[in-house]
Amino acid sequence: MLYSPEPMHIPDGFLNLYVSIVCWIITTILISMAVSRTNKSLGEKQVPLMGVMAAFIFAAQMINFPVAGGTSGHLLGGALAAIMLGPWAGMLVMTAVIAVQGLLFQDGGLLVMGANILNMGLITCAIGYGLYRSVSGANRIFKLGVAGIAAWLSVMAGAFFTALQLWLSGTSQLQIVIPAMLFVHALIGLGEAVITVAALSFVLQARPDLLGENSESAKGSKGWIIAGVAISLIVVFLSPLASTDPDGLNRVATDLGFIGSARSSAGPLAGYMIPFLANVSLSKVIAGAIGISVVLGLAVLAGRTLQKKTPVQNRKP
Amino acid sequence: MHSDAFDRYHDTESFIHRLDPRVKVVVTIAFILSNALLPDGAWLAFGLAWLFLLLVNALSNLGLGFTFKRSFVALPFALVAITVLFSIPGKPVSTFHFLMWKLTVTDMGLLRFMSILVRSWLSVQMAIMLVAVARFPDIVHALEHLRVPSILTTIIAFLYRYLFVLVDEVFRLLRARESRSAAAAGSRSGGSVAWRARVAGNMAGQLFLRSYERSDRVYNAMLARGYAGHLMTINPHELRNIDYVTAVLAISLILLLQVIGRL
Amino acid sequence: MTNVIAVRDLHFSYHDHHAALKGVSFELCEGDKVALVGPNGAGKSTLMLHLNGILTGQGDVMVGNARLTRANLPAIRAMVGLVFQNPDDQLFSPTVFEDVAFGPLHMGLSRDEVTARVETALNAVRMSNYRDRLSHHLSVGEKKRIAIATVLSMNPQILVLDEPSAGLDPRARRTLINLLRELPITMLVSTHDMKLVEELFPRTIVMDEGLIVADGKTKDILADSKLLEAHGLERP
Repeated sequence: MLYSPEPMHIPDGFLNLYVSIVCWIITTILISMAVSRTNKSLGEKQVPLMGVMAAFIFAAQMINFPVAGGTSGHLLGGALAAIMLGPWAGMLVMTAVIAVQGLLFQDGGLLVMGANILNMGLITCAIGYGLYRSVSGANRIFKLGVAGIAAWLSVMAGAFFTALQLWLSGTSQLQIVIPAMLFVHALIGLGEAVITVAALSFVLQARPDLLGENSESAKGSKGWIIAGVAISLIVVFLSPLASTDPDGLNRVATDLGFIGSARSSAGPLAGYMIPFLANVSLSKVIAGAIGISVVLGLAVLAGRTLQKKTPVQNRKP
Repeated sequence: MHSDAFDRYHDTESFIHRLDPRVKVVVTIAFILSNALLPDGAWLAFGLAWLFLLLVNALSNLGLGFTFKRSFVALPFALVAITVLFSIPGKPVSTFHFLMWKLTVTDMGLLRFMSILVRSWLSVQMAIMLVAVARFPDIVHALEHLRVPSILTTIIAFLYRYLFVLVDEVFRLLRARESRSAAAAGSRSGGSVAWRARVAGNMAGQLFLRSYERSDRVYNAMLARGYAGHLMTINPHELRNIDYVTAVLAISLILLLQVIGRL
Repeated sequence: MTNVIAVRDLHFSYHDHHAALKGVSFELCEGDKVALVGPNGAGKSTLMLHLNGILTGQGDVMVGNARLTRANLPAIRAMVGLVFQNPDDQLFSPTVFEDVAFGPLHMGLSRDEVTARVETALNAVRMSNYRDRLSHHLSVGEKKRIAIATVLSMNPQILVLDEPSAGLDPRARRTLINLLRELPITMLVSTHDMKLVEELFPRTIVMDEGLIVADGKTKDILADSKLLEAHGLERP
């Protein structure tokens, strides 16, 4: 097939409006930050570079390789984009890719695009770059290994948050959708990891200057490490919790007023869900969005107060 | 691969085609928003929304069934919502056994499930309509008018421009791989998964470098024509009276849908 | 006669210390149509990139009466219309109109002036009805002509073309040759196409290994078989 969609693109109608709006708020804040940051770092070249790179990611998503029994592994690209271009540029590039996928190919809805960008573009870049940045001083093999793990985790995180949004919208049951999404994407994530590592390895060999000390890739602040690790930890700890003990997560969500507390006790697949619209107060939703933004903002600020990597001075012979 | 493999625009003369792209984008978003706001089970409103959709199809001279034929794109995703059939409390409609569980479909569950599907089905059709009646560069212009940051719209414009070029390169790389994927008589071909993955990764890396170098050349071409860091764009669209009238009419109809849906 | 371009003793090395230009000097007068020939790696493209300041080396580049410096780059770039070899690099906007409008737009002209310039430029390359076409739909030949229009819209004093006929089928090549013949503008064209040189350009500059080894009437240079052979060229 000329264009094959990923199972993470949420179409219109599957997310509740409030969830959609909260995701848009987070996405808009992060994109605005990305716009102003890339302005300063890439300067004049940013437009042609990011433009062509966006086309690259889109095209690279078509490179596949057969895994087993008709399935194939292929690339989402968030971690790769962030590692190669720097975190903020990576986010803008992925935003453009997801926007075109939604607009032109209806892969992903228009109203829910904020959520899709958040899951597939922003979170993947944060984890991909954050974890890679943490080993910037290490030797090549180690860096590549971490990049692979980062790529895999980025896909898992995207899947996790997608599942979370579907649950919060009353579209899916928590204990079904989280394991299902994670399971499917664990395999896809392997493909992501392998292609990301192989591509990075190729570039490190052919043009090491692009990923070296003076590159965009190395100049991101250390706050990304905090962001990347934090999101990874959330995913790693909450996923099994959500799958096996949905009661716990449900209780937390109920206490926070996200979900109504009507329960039915008709067996393992009994649902705890009431359509989201009916029971939540708008103020709690806004509070939640502000809270998340504040946490992310603090993470980035924390990175700026930490020592930034200073560029190596070139000495003329 | 033909150069319009990625085009979704159908070049026909019609009232809708002639409308300003901003109107088309705004009405599309309003329609999708309206679907999201309609409550579960608002079947009359959903039905009228579908009529609205058919009207747009007809006015665009693309045939009444144009979007219908393409509307099942998002169907596989419906699987995600299937648990809703069993998990919402209500009157049981039917019961059956799946592996070791006893599943009961409730009427509220069915209502919710069908509502999700109908909303999605209606919305995706309007999105299909949008790119069929507005050229993609014009949609980008509309986004710029609607205050999307210009760096983002420019990246999207570049993406669109170079998409075909780069995908063509991917296909050439894939064909080269094909041509070299022979099997010696009597032995199994294909290599290990790890090897295949490495080849794929090398292709990605190769494509990355080519793209990076191309972006350098594009940058030089931009410099040669006076680019000095601040990109200027020209959006050759003027809103006519008919655009305003159509927009107001469409939005009013959509608001009417909202009222009907809550009666 | 005024010089449109004058290059004096230009030296340039790339980052990897490869010396691409080792002291290049020449002059172009108004109305000159000059071919630049030589083997691959001679430094032709490198030289062209110096003419509008994308690369800067040691030595002088004079455009009109002004010496090329950082400060007057924008003005120089409006005077020297550089057309690259690969039209996919030159056409980077989604539509033809936007691409041809890019130059005048960045010169600060008003919307009406820009539109007028686009029309004139497309007329000059005989492609007025391509105004609203999408760039990625065009054939190579069409792209090359639009690429010329994208610099013509800036009203340059000189057109510098890098391998314009490369990759064109005979029909597209013929169309291009007719176009170049009709354009009443000073031209410097690098090419491997010796028949093109013979047909269109009264003067030829031969480059090899970063230096100019011959500069004179095309007739004389094409008759000098020892010169041609020494620098990897063939008679048409």
